Parts: sequence; structure tokens; C-alpha cells
Amino acid sequence: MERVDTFAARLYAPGLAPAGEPVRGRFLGAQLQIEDAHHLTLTVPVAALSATMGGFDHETIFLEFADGSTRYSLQLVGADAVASVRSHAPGVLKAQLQRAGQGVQRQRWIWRSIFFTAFALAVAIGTLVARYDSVVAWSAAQMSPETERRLGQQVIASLRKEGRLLEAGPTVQAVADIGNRLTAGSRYNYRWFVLVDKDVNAFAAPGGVVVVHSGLIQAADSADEVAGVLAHEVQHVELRHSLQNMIHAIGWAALLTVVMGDVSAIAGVLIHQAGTMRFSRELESEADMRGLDALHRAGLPAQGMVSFFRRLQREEAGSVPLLSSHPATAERIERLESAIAARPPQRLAPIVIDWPALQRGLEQESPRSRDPGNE
Amino acid sequence: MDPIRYRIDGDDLQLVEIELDAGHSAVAEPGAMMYMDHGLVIDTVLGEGSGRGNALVRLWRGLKRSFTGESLFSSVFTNPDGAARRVAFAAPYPGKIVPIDLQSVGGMLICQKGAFLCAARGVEVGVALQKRLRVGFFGGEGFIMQKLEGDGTAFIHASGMLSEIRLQPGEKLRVDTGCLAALQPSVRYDIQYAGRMKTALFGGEGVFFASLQGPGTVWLQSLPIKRLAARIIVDGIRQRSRGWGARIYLVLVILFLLLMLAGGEPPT
Repeated sequence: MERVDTFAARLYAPGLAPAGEPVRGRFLGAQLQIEDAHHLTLTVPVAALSATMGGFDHETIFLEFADGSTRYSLQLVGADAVASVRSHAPGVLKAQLQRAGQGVQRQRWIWRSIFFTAFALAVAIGTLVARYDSVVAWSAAQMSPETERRLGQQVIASLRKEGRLLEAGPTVQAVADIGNRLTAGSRYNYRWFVLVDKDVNAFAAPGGVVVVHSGLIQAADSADEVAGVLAHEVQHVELRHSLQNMIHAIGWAALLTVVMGDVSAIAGVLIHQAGTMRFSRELESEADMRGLDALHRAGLPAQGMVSFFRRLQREEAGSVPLLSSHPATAERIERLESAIAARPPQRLAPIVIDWPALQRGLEQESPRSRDPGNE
Repeated sequence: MDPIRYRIDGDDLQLVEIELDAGHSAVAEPGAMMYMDHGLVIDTVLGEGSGRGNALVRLWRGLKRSFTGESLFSSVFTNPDGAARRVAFAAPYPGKIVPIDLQSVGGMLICQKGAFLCAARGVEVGVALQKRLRVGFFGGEGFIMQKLEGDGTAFIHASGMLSEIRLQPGEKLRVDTGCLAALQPSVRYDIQYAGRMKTALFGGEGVFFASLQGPGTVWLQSLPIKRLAARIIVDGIRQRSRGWGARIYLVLVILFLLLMLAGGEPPT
């Protein structure tokens, strides 16, 4: 027969079992009555009781009292006992219990905030990793055009030092003529360069800097083919791909700096990134498709892009840098062709340039004659 | 609960020999077994071998065990029939084995990581999480301790001497951190600042003491294994670079070699 107002407890005292004597307690007015299994009772005035939190986890309620020099400790057993004492205990004790309970609450709150912080941190890192591309693209979009222009300027400066950069002349003019048609209405102020280099390659730097190797001019069959390449490279600028690469590199450089403790690593990595321009397959594919759009808008034959790639691939795929930096060419050509086939035919306004004559003239052009200050 | 008869043998490198009646079993850490009578059946089970719950529950309990420094599995030694048979488990390092009747401590005991050695079948090894940050960081036992639950006899092992101290209600004991081997859950376990800066820095007792407050029984170990290990490593390293004799000998060897090289050179 358990009455609702009694509660289970364990009584500890010298002479009792080390694990405590199982008892039942009950509040009667200003008295606490403790009854053990043999119906022996102990009556304690409530005023003599003090409630403390004890036990391994500091979450167990003990009611302590003394009888002469003997100290007793009454451990409440189970949630029911705690609830019963909380509701039946007289006012003074209730206040003590409340204070004791606050400690437990504080502890829970601390753990909860630790878990919450850890969880938030994990989510943040997870998001950063999962949406890495978007995060990088977003950061790239935060850069001002002025910053981009300066970055491009730096690339030009470092190329100038090599003394192989053509900045004016008929070939540069031809490239600019083709390029300007492709970039009409762009927010960037494009600058076109030809680099004297046998490798068949072209690259773009932030802020509208496009550099075509002379090897590419020689390898191309017509202005349309160069237009195809330019249309692609221009998209890297328009879509801020090189910026994204740079931000990606900044991340690595920051990591390197932290690990190696060398700040100068950042500058090195950045300049290197701006010059080499290797893009992920997704970015290349994006540049291809948007390049087709640009050709379409400019009224140039999209076929030039495909025919150039195809010829290069036929010749010697491994030794052409443009291909080695633009991988999976067969697949790309297929994708390009199907995209072209899906487009409606349009009226073309081809560029008229005597390409063989230009190629012959290019051999005579030299950067020094036009850039005497660079010695 | 399977009642068991046992005998603890040895002084500082102890073993416990348990006698199992027909149909009774003992549970132990894998690898703790030292010898056993022919005819005992060994079974390796996930968790503590209580056999309760489905596979997933047992796996979860096993994982919890592995957090407390025990193995994911336990070995169950069963006497299938006939006469009583013996099985002995050895302590893994110098120290004492203490039998604790869980019933006499209220059905639960909290002990330091890896303290559990073996028990009568029915004793469950779980995790006791330390909720107080300060105790977890500075109490010397970390955030995870072992919780032994059940009503059988469990054998715990700790390095050094194990002394049992019973604390009366309100009685307080200050203990060097790391020396706490086991405690009854009714004991309040906290930490206490050493008090004075001078004591904290130069007293050699550390900045904090573990503070234990009754009621309940605590088991203290005289030489925590970490301290023993640190001491052995320090001595081991010192040994290598010590001794003037060895150094002089080395110098002599080098001199001798140099002389030989010089003498062996052909005259030019």
C-alpha cells in the first residue's frame, strides 16, 4: 500500500548499510517521517533539514540532517520521489530545492549550448564543403571590377617582362577586331594581346585581358576558328572563372600559410594562378556553351570552334597545350556539335581577314620594335 | 545473477580464480583469461553478454563499452554441466583486484576507464558521462567513466594499492586527481582548487584536487598507471644519456678510430 504522499529514499548514516537503507519518507506538517522496512520510524523537524545536490552527477537530491553528532543523509530515489517532495515539502525546503534545481538547469544549458555550437559549426563546414562552387562563385562576384582590372594589369606586367608580348600591330588588330565583335556590350574593357610562342594556346586573365599565342594564329585556318577560341576564352572573363580559381587558390594559400607559416606563399600562388588558368571541366563546359551564344550573337559561324578543336585533335592531341589544358576533347566536340545542331540557322556576318597573309606578316612582327622601353 | 566462488591470488600482480557451478557463467574482457579447466565453453559476444536485447541493442551496448576503454566484445565462460570448473583472469598490469558485490553498493558502481576485469554474468558495463565540465577537464578521470550495473559480483582492477574508504554523510575527502579508481554513485565527485598559488605551482600535487563527499564508498589507487608509465619513460630516456663512464668510453673509441685512420694513411 503506497500512499501518494510518501516517497522512496535511501537513508545513509554511520552504522547503516553502505549502500543506504531503503526507506520511505513522508511530510507531516512541520515534520518529516522516515519509515524503514521494519516499520521503525524516525521523525525529523523540517527546520533541521537542508537540501543539497550530490552524487556523481550532482543531480541527486539529498536531504541532510543531524541527530546529535550523527549526520544523516536521505537520498531521494527516482523521479516520483523528487516530484513528491517538491509538491509536499514545506516552504523553506521548497526554496532550497529550487535553488538546488537551478544548478542542474544551468548544467543542462551549458551542455546544450556546447552541442548547439558544435552542430552549427558542423553545419557551416558541411555547407561550405557541399556548396563549395557556389561559395567560390559568390566570393568572386564580390570583387570589384577595379580589382579585376588591376589583377589583369599584373598579368600583363609579368608577361611584358618576358619581352614576347605583342601589344599592337596587324595581328593584334585582327585579334581585336574578332574579339570586339564577340564582346560588344560587355561591362569589361577588353584588351587583346598576342604572345610570341610556338605553343598553340590562348588564355584570359581577369578584367578583360585575352592573350593569344602566335602558335595558335599559325595553326588556325581562318578568322572563324580564332573567333571560336576567343569566344571560349572571353567567357572565362565574363563568368569570372579566373577569379574563382584565384579564390580557390587563396583558400589553399591561406591553408599553406597557416601550416607552413609563410605569408609570401599567397602572392606567389595568386600570380601563378592568374597566368596558368586551368579550369575545371564544369567551368570549361560552361565557357563552351556561353561561347557558342556569343558567336551566335555576333553572327559568326559556330562551326569554327569545332573545326579548330577537331583539327588540333587529329594532328597531335598530346603536344598541344590548348588541348592538354582543355581535356576530354572528343567529348567536348560532340557536346558542341549537338548544341550547334540544336540552334536555329541564322544569317551570318563573317569576318573578312586574309588569314594566310596575316600569318606571313606575323613572322615579321617582333615585340622589341614596338616596345623599345622594355630592355 | 550467477553466484560465484572466487579466490584472488598474488600480491601485486594478481589473478582471480573463479569457480563456476554447472550452468553458471562469468563474463570477462577478451584476453583477460589466464587458465581454465577443461570443459568450459568460451563464447565471444557483443556487449557484456547479458544476452538481452536484439542485435542492434547489443551492438549499441558494445559501442558504449568500447568508449569506456573496454573491448567491443566480451568473453563469456560457461560451465555446461557436471562438476564445478575453474577459470582464472589475470590483471593486465601491477595493481590490485578488488571484488565488489554490486548489491551491497546499491546496484551500481562507477569506476575509472578500463577498470572492469570480470564479473558474474548479469553485470552490465556502461558509460557514466561526467556532466560537470570542470570535473571532466581537471578531475583526472576525464568525461567518460565506466558504470557497472547489476547485482552480482564484479572484479575491478586498478594499478597500485587499492584502498576502500567509506565516507559518512557529509564527510569530505580530498584526493590527488587520477587516484580515484571507483566510487559509489551517491558520492559527490567534484574538484577543488589547491588553495594557494605556491602549493598549486610547487606543491607537486597539481592545481586541483578531486573532492569526494559522502555518503558512499570510494576506492582509491595509490599509483595511477599513467604516473607509472610516465615515470618509466622518464627513467628509460635518462638511462640512455646517463653515465660519465659511457661517455668517456665513447670518446676513447672515437680517438682510437681517428688514430687508426691517421696511422693507416700512406705516406705522401
